[in-house]
Order: sequence, then C-alpha cells, then structure tokens
Amino acid sequence: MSPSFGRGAMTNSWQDMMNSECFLIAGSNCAENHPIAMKWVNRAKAKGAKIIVVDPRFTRTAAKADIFAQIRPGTDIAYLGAMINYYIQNKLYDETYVLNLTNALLKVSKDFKFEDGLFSGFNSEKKKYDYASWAYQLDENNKPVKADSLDDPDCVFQLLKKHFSRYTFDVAEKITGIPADKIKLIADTFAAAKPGNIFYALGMTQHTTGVQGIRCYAIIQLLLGNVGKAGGGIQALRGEPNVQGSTDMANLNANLPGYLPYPTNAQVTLHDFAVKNGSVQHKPMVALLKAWFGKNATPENDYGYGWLPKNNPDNMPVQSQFFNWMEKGQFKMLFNWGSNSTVSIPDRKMVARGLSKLEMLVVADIFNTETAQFWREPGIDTKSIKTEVIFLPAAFVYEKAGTMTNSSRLVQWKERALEPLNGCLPDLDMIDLIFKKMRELYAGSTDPKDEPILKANWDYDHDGEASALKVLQELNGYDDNTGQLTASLADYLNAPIGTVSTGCWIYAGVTPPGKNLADRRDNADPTGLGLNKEYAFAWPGNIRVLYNRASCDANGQPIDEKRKLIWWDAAAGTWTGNDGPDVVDKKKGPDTPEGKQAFRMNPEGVGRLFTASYTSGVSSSPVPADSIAAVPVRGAGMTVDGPMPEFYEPIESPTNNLLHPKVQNNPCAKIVSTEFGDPKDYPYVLTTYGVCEHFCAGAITRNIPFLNEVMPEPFAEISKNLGKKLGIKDGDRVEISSIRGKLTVHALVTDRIQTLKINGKDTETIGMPWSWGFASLNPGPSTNNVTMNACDPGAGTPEYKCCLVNARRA
Amino acid sequence: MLKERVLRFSGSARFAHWGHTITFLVLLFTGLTLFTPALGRVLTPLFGSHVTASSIHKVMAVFFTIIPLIALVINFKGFVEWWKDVFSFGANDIKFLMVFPLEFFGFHVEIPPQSKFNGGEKMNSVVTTTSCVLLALSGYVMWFKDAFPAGLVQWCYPIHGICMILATCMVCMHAYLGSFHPGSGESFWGMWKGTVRSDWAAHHHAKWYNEVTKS
Amino acid sequence: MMTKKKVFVDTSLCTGCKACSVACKAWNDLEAEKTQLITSYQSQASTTYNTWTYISMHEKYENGKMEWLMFKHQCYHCAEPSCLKACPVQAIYKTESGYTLIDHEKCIGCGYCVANCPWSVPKTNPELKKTFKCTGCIDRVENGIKPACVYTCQPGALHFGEPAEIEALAQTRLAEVKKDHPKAQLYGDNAMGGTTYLYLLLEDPEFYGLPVNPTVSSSLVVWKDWVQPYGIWLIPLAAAAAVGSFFTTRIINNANKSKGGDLHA
Repeated sequence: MSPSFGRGAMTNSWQDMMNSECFLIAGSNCAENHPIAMKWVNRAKAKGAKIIVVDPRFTRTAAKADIFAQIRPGTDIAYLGAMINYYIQNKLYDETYVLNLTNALLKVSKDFKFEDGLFSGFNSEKKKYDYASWAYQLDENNKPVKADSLDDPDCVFQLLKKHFSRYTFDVAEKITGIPADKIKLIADTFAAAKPGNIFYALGMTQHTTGVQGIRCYAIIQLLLGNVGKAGGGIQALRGEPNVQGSTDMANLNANLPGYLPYPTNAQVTLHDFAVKNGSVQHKPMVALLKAWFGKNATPENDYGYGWLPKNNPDNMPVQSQFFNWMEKGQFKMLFNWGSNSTVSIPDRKMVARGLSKLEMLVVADIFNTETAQFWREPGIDTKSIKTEVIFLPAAFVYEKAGTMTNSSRLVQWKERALEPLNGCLPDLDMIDLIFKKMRELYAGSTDPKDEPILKANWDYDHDGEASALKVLQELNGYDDNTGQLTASLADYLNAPIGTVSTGCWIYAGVTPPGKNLADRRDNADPTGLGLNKEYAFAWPGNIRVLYNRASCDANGQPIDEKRKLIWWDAAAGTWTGNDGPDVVDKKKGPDTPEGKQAFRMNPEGVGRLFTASYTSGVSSSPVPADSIAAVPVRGAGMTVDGPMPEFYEPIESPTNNLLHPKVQNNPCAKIVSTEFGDPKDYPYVLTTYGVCEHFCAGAITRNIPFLNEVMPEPFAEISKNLGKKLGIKDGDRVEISSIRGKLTVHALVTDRIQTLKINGKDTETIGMPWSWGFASLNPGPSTNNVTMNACDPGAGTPEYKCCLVNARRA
Repeated sequence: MLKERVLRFSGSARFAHWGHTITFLVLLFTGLTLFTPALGRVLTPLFGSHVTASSIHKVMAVFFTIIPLIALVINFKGFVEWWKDVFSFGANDIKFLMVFPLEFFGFHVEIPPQSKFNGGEKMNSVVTTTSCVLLALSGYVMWFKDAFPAGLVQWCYPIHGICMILATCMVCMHAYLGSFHPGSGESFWGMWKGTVRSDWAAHHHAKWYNEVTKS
Repeated sequence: MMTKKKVFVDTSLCTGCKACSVACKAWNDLEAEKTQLITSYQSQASTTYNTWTYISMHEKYENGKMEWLMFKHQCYHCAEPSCLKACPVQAIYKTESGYTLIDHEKCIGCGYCVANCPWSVPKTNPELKKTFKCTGCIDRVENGIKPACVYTCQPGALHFGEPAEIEALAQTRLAEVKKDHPKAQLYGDNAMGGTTYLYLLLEDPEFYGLPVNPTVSSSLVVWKDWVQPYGIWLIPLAAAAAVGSFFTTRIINNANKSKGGDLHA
C-alpha cells in the first residue's frame, strides 16, 4: 500500500467498517482470525451491505457472504486484473476521482515497456529491475508532465488500460477456476455499492506475488474512488495485536522507526542519506538520532549518524532466509523474542539446521516453545548440536504495562493487571538489564566500534524497573528548548531541524506534557461514524481515516452527506471536521496546490495507479556540501517487481502460465527452498492457514486447555471428489507429502472445498492449518514440514499459501 | 388319605419365587424413594441416602433378572408347563374370575374345577410376569440411557412406574391370598414346603389333582 | 428482585468461533475436556457436566451453493421445564427472574432430568452424582453483568435484554434475513411455556437436529400427572382389599359356622 498511497498501513479503522456498502474480503478469513472485524461487518450487513468472499475454501467468513467464489490459491491477480480491465473498458471508474486524485494523467517515459511477462529494466543475473524506465516524463521543474486527457497514449491510464486488456473474464476463469460470470458479478456488485471496502490479510501477502496483489486492490479502489472515505479503503488486517506497532518500530530490515529508509553503506554521511532519500527524511532522522543518542547527538558529529550500522543492500536476508545463512555460519548468536520459527517457517527443517550451527540461542517466551527446545524434536541428532540455549521466562501480556498498536494504527496503552509470576520479566526489563550489563562491560573502551553502546541515551528507570511510559515518551519526543515533551505532531513538524527529538516521528503527540493520549478510554461517537476520536490515539496526529481529503470535492466540501469526515471552513480559513484532516497544511485551502493533495506522502501528492520511479523537488548537482535545502524532497515508494501488477504462477504450480509461458513465476522472487516438486508427482495444491481457536504458531494457545478442547488437532480439508478418488472418508487419517516432507492428520472430507476446472483440467485444493508443533500441552504435526520457502521480492513474505503436495489414506 | 401330600412346586420354582419376592421388595422400597418426594422423605432415611438406595436398587436389579433366568435354565420343563397352564385360559377360568370377588370376601360360591393354577393365579402369573419383564427392560434402558433413543428412555419412566404399581398390587393380593386368606391358606405351604395336602389339591385344583394322581 | 430477561441468539451472525463456550468455562470454572474433531470444525458433541454451552456446525451443499450454519446449544431456561417436572427430589427450581436452576444440595444425580429434557441439556457427573447445566450466569446477571457467553460474543450474535426489546429485535432481524433465507424462522419462544432463549434460525429446526415442537413429552405427562399422583393409590387400595377380606372372610365364616355350614379349607 505504501507505493500506492504513501503509507504502509490500513487506511480506515475497525469501527469504520460499519459504514461500508460492500466488502470484498479476499485473502482474509476475518470471521476466524479477526473476530472483532465481524462485529462491524455484521452491523454494515444489517444495514444492507453486501459481502463478497473470495477464498480457496469456504471459510467461516464465507458462511456470511452474499457471494462466494472459490479460487485456486495464488491466482488473485488474474481475476483482480479482469476486474480492473472491466472497470476501465466499461468506464465504471469514478472519473473525477481518477482525474484529480490519481496519477492517471501523468505521462510515463517512452522507454517503459512490458513484453512477454517482463517489464523493462530487468537484470536477469541479479533478478532485479532497474527502475530508470519506470519514470515520468518530467518538465524543467522536475514535475511530471500531465496529459490533457485520459486518451493520451503516454499517460498512466492508457498504460494501465493496455496492460490489463489481456485480462478478460475468460482468461481469469481459466487461471483462477472462478466462473467468468461470477467474476463479472463480483465486479458489478463491488462497483455498484459504494463505498466499497477491501479486506486482506496473510491470504494475500503470503505469495511470491503478494505486494502486487495488494497493488491490484489499490488500483481498484483508486479507480472506484473508494480511498480516503468512510466505509472505503483497504484494510490490512494484521496477524497479531501489535504487528502494526512492531512494523512502526521497524521490524523490517530496510526501515528505521517511523518508516525511515535504513541507511545503506553508500550513505556515509547524513547528507548522503538526505540526498538519496529526500529532505523529508532528513528531519526525522536527526530527531531519531537525538532520541537514541541524547546529548551526544550534536550537529558537529552529524548527530551520531556515523554510529548507526549501515545496511549492505546486496546482503540483506529476510527472516525466512536467516536459517540458511545460519547454517553457513553467518550468525553466531540469535535473540529470539516472541517468535516460534521452528513451527512457523515454511520448509521448516532448515530452522533446526540453522539453529544447530549457532554458538548461542536466547529465547524469551512465556512457554517453552518448540524453538526453545528445537534439539528435542524427535529425529534430531541432539549429540551433534553444540548450541548453548538460554531460556528467559517472559511476563504475559497482562503482566506488563505498555502499548499495543492495532491494525488501524490505534496506539492503546494498558496497565499491568497482575504481577509477573516466579521471576518472569517483561521484555522491556530484560532488554534494559542486558543493555546495562553490556554497557558496564564496555565501560572505558576507546574502540570506536563500542561508541554506539557507550554514547546511547538509555534512561528508562522508574521505581526500580524499566518504564514503558518512558519509552513511549521517547517515541513522542522532546523539545530541546523547553525540555518538555512535544505536544503534537504539528509542533514536531514546525520545529526547526535539530531542536526536537522523537524515537518514531509518526507517534509524535501521543504523550503531550502531563498526558498519555494512548490511555484515553472515552468511546463517545457523536457522529455515529465510529471515529471515536477520544479513544486512545491513532497515528499520525490522531487521524482515523487516512487520506480523508479524498472525501471532499474540489471546494473542500464532503461528497457523501451521510459520511462527513472533514471539510474546508472558508470563514475560519482552515480544514476541520469530525476526523483529523489528513492534509499537507490545515491552513492551505482547496484552491491551493497543497490543498488539493489527498495523498500527501506521495511525491506526486496523488494516488499511484502506476508506481513510477519519482523523487520530487530539484536536486542541484553537485550538491553544495554545506546545504541540505537543495536536495530532493521526497522519494516514491517502489514496487520492486513492476510498476503495475502482473500475474505470475506460484513457484509450485499445477499448470503453466497462460499469459506468458516463458515467464512462469515472479522473476524477482527470492527462492529459499532447494527442492521443488513436479505436478506429476505432487498433483494437488496445498494452502495453509490459521484457525480461530489457535493463534499463529500456537505457542500460547496450544498450552491453553480450553482452546485445545475446541480445536484439538490439525487436519486436512479435501473435496468429496478427492476423498472418493483416494478412498478417504470424513474422519480418516490422511498423509500429506511434498518433496520437502510429510505429515499425517485427520481428514475433513467436505463440500467446502470443490474441485476446480483450471485451464480445462480438474484441479484439487487441500487446506491445512499450520499451528501445531511437537511440544506444548497439545502437540501435533507441523504443516510447515511440507510448505515451500520462496518469498515476495518486496515484502520478503514467504509463499505459505500454495505449494504442491500428494495425499494418500494413512 | 387325609395326611397324604402331593408335590406342587419344585425346588427351582420355589427358589425363583422366593428369590424374586425378596429382590422385588427391596427394589420396591429402594425405588419408591424416587417415586414421589413425599415417599422419598419417608423412605430414604432407611437406606441412608438416595445414592445408597440407588446402588442397592441397581444391585438388586441384577439379582432380580438373574434369579428367574437361573430357574429357567435349571427347570426349563417346569416353566414350560407353568406357561402352558397359564395360557390355557378357558371357560372355567373365566367363571372363576367372575365369582372370585365374592369368594375373596368370604362368600361361599360354587367354583368350577381348576387346573394347577386357578383363574386368579393365572391372572397373577400373567400380570406379574409381564410387569416384571417390563420393569426389568425399562429399568435397564433407564440405567444405560445413553445407549437408547431419547423417546424410548422417556417412556420407560412411566412404564416402570405403571408396572411397579400393577406388580405391587398383585403382590399385595397374592401375598394375602397365599397366606391369610382362609380359602387358600394351604397354597402357602405349597410354595414353602413344595407339597400340599391331597384333599386341598383335590378340592381347589381338581383338574390338576386328577392329572397328577393318574400319572 | 431482577425482572425476567431474554437472550436472542442470531445464528445468522454467529461465526462459530466458539468463544462463548470458552468464556462459559472460564467464568464457571469448568474443566476442559479431551476432544477430537467430530465433523466440520466441531469438537464438542453435546453438552456435558463440564460443557454448558457449545456450537454445532452444519454443512449443506445444494445447487452449487454452500451453507455452513452454526447453532449454539445451552439450557433454554423454559417457563415450564420438563427437567423440573421430572426431578424426583425437587432439586430443580425456577427463579423469579426466569432461570431454571439445580440445587446441588438436593440433587442426587438420578438423571431423570437428563432423560426428559427435550434438548438433552443437563448432564450428570457420575463421580459427584450431581447433575449440571447452564445457570444462565445468574451470578452475573443478578449483579448487572451480561452472561459470559453474551458478553464475549464479538460478531454480535448474542443479545441479552428485556423480553420486549429482544422480541422486537428478533422480529426485525427475521424480516431482514428472510430476504436471503426463505426458511428463516424464530425458534424457542413458543416451546415449553416460553423459553428464555429466542433463536433466529436460517433453516428448519430439523436441519440443526432440533425438535420441531419441543413440548413436555406425553410420557412425562402420563408419568407425572397420572401414574404418580393417582396410579399409586392402587397399591393401598389392593392392600385395603386384602385387609378387608381378612375380616370379612372370617366374619362370614363365623356366621356360616354358627349356621353349621361347610368349612372351607
């Protein structure tokens, strides 16, 4: 979503779902994995909203759908492409929105090409694209050239039209298995009922084409004018209660907190960093360095920029690649916090191989997880493992204070409800103790490499323990002049560079002096739109619906009378409204260039149908060494595997790519597994998922007897046709095998999975939950024995959702 | 002639009769603890608690079922004869039943000749055995209710109750007739010792007496 | 004293997450049981003495359209409960607030209620010799908190409130749901003198394995209204006849003897 809209976050909120007229739930099984969503979806449905569910199997969410379509796993882009094509061909798009709030009119470089499944600029050796040809035609002020109409052959809109013209309903049917008339019905239903809302979760991201699938959603929502409106948008339903928070804090290795680009080894000075990433990243970087190094961060020492380790872009493994690197001896030690990789990594046997080569493994968890005792797994030669394993017993969620940031960017504070038992500690206290001890050990060192540890600003003590509130206040930031907490996001934005600190600039304003806005619990909702402005704090600046400028017309007045979010108050000369206005400057009206921008985090200020390579502002070359002002302003987020989505088959697929047989898979995909199955030996498509009753790798839930009672064992769901073919009855045991491994589970023979007709051939799907492992109160075989490890090139998410398997009665 | 006795009930028949009598009475009183709350309040203390009463009821139920089965195995022929007689319900038996109420209260009536079992005994045999079989069957259904359809289990409750009432009524009458009723007092010894006075047999069960003495 | 309340189970909104069953166990301190998948995603087959509410799942595939329906089972807290009628020791009683409860001081675990509930809700713990079932969370509701299952339900399938409100809500929802599910109907309201639970079903009751017209069974009427109060008097009657005969036979005999009649022996 970041390359499309500017921010990598769910656009609306949970409560806002009740404002929708139509839902496309595809890649999310929210009834099971985000039960809270159904509270609001059900309310919308009671008011007449339609629910469309597209999924490889009939889920508990599908049970509530008006339209259900069973899709072959990993083929979403084919039917979504057909929807885009249909909307463009039949002019079902919102023309005003497309013209004013997207980059449809911007002209793209004539060098851009798409041929035989590849975009221009592909380097087959590195399996990477060079973005140079994905650029706009620029004028003398470095601004993209705007076409006069959508008919201009160079404009984004025409490129989009041409690109997706190959995606007819019939082609989509052959690829996905969804009947053409049903795809048309979905397209018509979704276009007719506005605002339409799209939900996705891991069902969409866990593919080698994950990011591009979500790009399809962005294009659909921009074409239909559904972004920035109450009841519209795209909801990324996060897999864990604090995944948004951990992503905000940079759990991806290319980021720093607040989505700052991580400095690479080519960016030696702060100035290099600013030149590369734009001046908008300069200030938050300085503020971050000031938060991390306190008084030691000065203009003279580049605010301690040199103390940050730098990334080598050619050498950056994503999590599922770590274990292969460990096996090769790249890592000596692993701190494992809140992750159970032994169960959760696809093609999981590589995890134990990797962990076995470490000198030390530290696991902090509330239960003795499979990862913490990987050497105990049956079949592993324990004697040959030299890894020293240390287990740190962690406090449970209710035994520690702190915040959790949910999918809708809502930063929610909670107090400790219980004292931790038996010496268990909150994670924060563990890290605090470890850091202090390390600093003690490094004391007096003059080695430059030890400087970051000795110079770090580290003071979270409060009443003898580390205070989570002090951490949150560090994220909020301080004003140097007054020594006070920064009062609001605006105060941070208005302060001169180098006078404010913030540990995560998007959190600025969460704890103004004397207050903790994340701790607010007033759920009053005077508008009835579910904005709940006085409940906790949503970043940025307590905005509940992102890009809400798009809900207003050219005069800055709400388009939808029933769903008024913000408006331009001409008399007062300011943007105001029920929600916090997501505008460049509250004082700049709809007649100014800034006041027209609905997507202010994009360098173009508009939503991106085509993710062009573009950096706004004028770069003077050579850059004067003493000046920051002349560097470019803002770079665009990129999709590394193409500026427009393209359908590629999953890495393991039962059929050939119908659109371009020579380029079967995503050419940029990161391949981690070493063995791949042939459809002749492994004819069935396996898709994996979680169930409502267990959470992720099950480390917690498999130790809760109540939850083991309601979901006692893993299973494989197969169609009745396949059941008949293999002689498997409901309740029998079935062995599922791939080239990488196998497991035996309970068979559910059900009508909820049907045989699909793919390119003229009957194709069977098998569904399996993956939350079991060899330890816990209720052990069970791990589905990740058989899954395949190949990742999306942009997000690094492995393709858990499709691989090839065989099945037989056990 | 006056002192001469004839064999009326074999050992196994007597074993079955008295075994059944004892188990029936225990079952009756332990069972009645649950029949109505009022009976429960009076009877339960005799057994300590409902739980003990119910345990005793279940143990007795097993004996109640086993005893006639044992007797059946030991003396299958006797059983067959009994049943043959009981089911050869003829005009004499009907006449017997019509005049019996008067006889019961002591009026002198002409009674037609009776076989081994008179019309009243035949009726007792039929009603009591049917009741006992139904009591046992319904009892086991209620005991192992999970193994049976809910509707059947539900009907077993009133059936068990009705059969208990019928059987108990029969027991009252039968016990009285077999012991203190002046007209049939000798029959008690028939079931106790196994033999009865020949003259009594000739008078009360003329048909049977003639058959026995002939052979 | 609390007034009568009602619970509306809107099965059209239930997602089968089973949180109600878990919340019930957590609040009422009931033990988890060892289970296996039975069919669909269902692992609990019936209520047990440790499972007072559970979800059953029902799959139907017809004309290319899949239906996956959920049903929440628990005690219905009937106005005229069979269990209460069947109980031989008066351990089951109705509260003024409409709940049907078991007094475990009195309960002897005989299982008469188990056999006679039209939905087979109560279940006996053979070790404790006591029978258990949903209490309607009376300890919560009498203190102004919703029942644990209702409180935890995220999709909004459970509603707790005044009977009039609940009935109005049920009618509104029925009208909405009928458009897509012509067989939709309300269930539970007219059964057993009116239950505390009102259901919105999307199919006929049989589809969920429910009795269509749950009533006090005729067997229970025969047993409790005829056999028990009247039939029992046959026993004293028979005994009285025997006692009567004891005297009349002797009086008549004596009279006959004085007349010099034949002695019957």
